[in-house]
Amino acid sequence: MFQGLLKKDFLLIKNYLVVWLVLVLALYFCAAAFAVYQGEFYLVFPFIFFIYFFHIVLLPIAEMVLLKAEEKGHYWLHSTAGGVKQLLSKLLIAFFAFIVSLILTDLLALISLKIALPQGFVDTPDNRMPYAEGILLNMGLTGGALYFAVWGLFLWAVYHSLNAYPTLKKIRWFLILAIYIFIQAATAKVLQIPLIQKWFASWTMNIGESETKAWGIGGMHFSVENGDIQLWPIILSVIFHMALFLAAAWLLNRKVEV
Amino acid sequence: MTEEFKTSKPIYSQIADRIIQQFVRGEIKPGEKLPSVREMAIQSGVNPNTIQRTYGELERMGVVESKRGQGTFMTEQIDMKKKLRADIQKEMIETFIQNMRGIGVEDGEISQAVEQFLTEKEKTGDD
Amino acid sequence: MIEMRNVTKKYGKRKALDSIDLIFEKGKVYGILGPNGSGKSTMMKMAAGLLFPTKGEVLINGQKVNRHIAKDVAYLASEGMIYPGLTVRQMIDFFASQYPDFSMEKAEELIQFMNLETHQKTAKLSKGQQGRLKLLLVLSREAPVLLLDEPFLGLDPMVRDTVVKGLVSFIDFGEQTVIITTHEITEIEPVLEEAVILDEGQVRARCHVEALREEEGMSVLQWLKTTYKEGINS
Repeated sequence: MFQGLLKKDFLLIKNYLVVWLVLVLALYFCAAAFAVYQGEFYLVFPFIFFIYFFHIVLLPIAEMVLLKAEEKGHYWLHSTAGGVKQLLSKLLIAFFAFIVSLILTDLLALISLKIALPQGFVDTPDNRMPYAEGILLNMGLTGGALYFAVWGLFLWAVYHSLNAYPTLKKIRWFLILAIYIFIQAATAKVLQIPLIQKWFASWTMNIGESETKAWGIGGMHFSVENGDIQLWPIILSVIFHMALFLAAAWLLNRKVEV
Repeated sequence: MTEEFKTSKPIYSQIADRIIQQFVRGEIKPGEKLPSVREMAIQSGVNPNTIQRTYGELERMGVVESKRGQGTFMTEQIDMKKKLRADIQKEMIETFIQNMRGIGVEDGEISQAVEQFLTEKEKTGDD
Repeated sequence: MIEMRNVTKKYGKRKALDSIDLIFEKGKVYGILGPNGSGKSTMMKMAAGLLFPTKGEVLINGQKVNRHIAKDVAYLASEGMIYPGLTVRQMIDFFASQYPDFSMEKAEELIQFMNLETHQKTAKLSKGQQGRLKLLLVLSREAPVLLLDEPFLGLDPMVRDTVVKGLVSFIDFGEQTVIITTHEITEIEPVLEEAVILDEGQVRARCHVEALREEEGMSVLQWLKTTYKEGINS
């Protein structure tokens, strides 16, 4: 049954994916042509970075395309598959499209670096290929994209759950925005509690980087201090987003009506 | 095409009437096997239960016989065909007479009109 | 068997269904008639597990209806149901993968019967072909309950005829409980055993189709009209 869902969702997104990949290639070749014409090959990299960063929204967009296909009549709910399987299928297929596109972008980046490095268009330490940075970039993009995708599922489910209440229906865009902001603000508030901060600092792992960095998404923050990365925030955020996914599935089963 | 049914009569008896008429006209031969309930239902576009009732009714009248495991067959009794023809004839005349009386034609005039109609038809050679 | 016990569905203050008490017996074919907005579709969606009652409960073969009821209910929806990007064959395969009672054998017979080209994208099908495909998808299932919501919607008389013949050929009479909602009564009437008139979310009247002709000398259409006249006069 799950296989059937995956196949259906793949068929629903297949054409969009092909068009997108062609678009990426077209953009790259235009950029490359432009860079070569200017005689400055490094000009291709801003375009590559643009394509890379677009991936953060690519996953949620793919997911929304898949959800949109079900909105008319919501016949997909007339199924024994249940919310978890239904939404997991959507998420996996959207993720598949995302990965395919990311791999293509990686290939384009590699090709460009192979051309650019020997000719001295870009500088890296020891003139080496920046593999480690590339992997980090891929991981960061994947994490960010998954973050938005799971939130997208949850807020989509909330939005459609409000269908049954005519009075709330008119302000549902406002409501889902409020829910998002509220949860973000609450997380940020909780994370500021000194006790929590202390707890977070109690378990770290050295990843060998000596600098101090901090990054965050929404209300969450992750930090590396002197090469030590805090593990609790990562574990907690994974658990939190899994819970968010399950909440979306629960809403789909119990609250979304046709 | 599925047939249209008259509104004033149950569908099962309309289908029974139709089978009887086909039998009298010779479109169904004595002893011929009738379509199965399912086939008949599909042909007529009606619920199979209705056909079940039609066949039951026809069997009660002695027009058809159902043989276990083989299906439903038209009766082979010659008398039955005659009787059915007489019944239909009577029914048609009844309706005709009622209609004529309804528009105020006297009984005498009716038989006169019928005779006149038949002789005129003969003359013109129309069918 | 389908039981609706004191079922009410409210949207805010509006009652789409109002205290419905109905029992649909196993193996019978029912027609639900009524104007737009009478609650026909709401009732079907509820029996299909797509809507939940505000009050009361719906039971199918003794189980309280929820999303899982789809395993026992084959539901033809008046909208949605088929994905425009998929071919006829892909739609059939998808249904076969989702419902264990889906019979490929029946589906193949129905492809012939409905005269459908399996390699065609469903978006390219005419309205009549789409209607036939939808019917194929639900009739291929050997489910105890069959719900057909407006199976004639937008179909011309010739296609309506095919649909009726398809129903008579492929419904398992006596085993499957069938509920059909429709505006087009004439074609479907000879298939129905009982009819229910819904109006403003309430059951207005119900009848046995053959008994109506026998006792009142009326077709369901005439009965529907007289019921409405009485309604307006009273």
